[in-house]
Amino acid sequence: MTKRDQLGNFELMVMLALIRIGDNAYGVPISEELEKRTGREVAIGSVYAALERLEDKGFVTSELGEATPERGGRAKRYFRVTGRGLKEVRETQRALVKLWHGLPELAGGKA
Amino acid sequence: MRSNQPPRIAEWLLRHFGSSPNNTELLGDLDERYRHEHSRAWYWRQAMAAIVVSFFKEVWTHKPLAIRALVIGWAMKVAWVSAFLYVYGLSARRLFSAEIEASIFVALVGIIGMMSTAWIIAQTHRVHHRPMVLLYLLIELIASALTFLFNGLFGDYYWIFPLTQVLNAIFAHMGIFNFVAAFWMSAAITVLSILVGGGFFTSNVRSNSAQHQSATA
Repeated sequence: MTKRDQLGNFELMVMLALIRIGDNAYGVPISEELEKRTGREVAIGSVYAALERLEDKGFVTSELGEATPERGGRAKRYFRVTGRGLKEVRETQRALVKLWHGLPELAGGKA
Repeated sequence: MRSNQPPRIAEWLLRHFGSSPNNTELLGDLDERYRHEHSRAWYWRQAMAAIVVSFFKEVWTHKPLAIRALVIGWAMKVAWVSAFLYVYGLSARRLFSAEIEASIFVALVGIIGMMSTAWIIAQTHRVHHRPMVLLYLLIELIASALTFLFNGLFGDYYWIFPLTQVLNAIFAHMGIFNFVAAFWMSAAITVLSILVGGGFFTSNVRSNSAQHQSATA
């Protein structure tokens, strides 16, 4: 696997949000989910930049949805994790769990 | 009470300067969240972040195109300025009887040169024309500022300095002596000419989205 195909920290967070949301994953629920889980304001522009990179890597696909008046007549773009993307998330999870394992400094959740 | 309409200037800036292939959808998402819960300051923060992030993301993702855009832009400019200086040097005295006429002519030629350079960059990078023209403009401004600060070489080959001299001459003819005003006006004219030439004020947000659709199909 090339370095370009690996998931960055924010990309991994976006992938996890996509998996959690499921079928209704477009910019608004994705950014709200990230804000809810991290407790920080998220720039929607950064979410789109990550999604476009993930799409280039083949981890995500997208399709245009319906336009609604509350969006100024603009369409939504729905994103979905591909099989390759899901595999990559699992591999990243495995690697992170291995790295986490046996670190006394991180045990107990204290800083 | 807060209006349901997002801040117009911020929306306009994002619509025209956002480089993301999903700019239309991003604008829709911002609209939707703004109407539900957020402040005008939130919308401004989001819009400015989206412009900056999408610009750097597009340039970083398409580095060879970015280098090509800069090479095309600078080659065209050097060719344009060199040809102009040569022709003007030969014929200026025959063309114009008054200095003011010559100065206006030089200013117009400069503006046409800037617009056509940006137009060529936009035409040769159709899908990514916004980030590439913005990159050219940004590098031009940074290079001009460095030249100004360090008294560097090739000052004639940046658009701003010859234009400043010309505007200063026009101002002087009108009885106004303000080099600083001439400098800032020439900087503003440079920015506007490059943006107009690069097609920034012809709304093509829809076509951006259509291009993305065809690219992902």
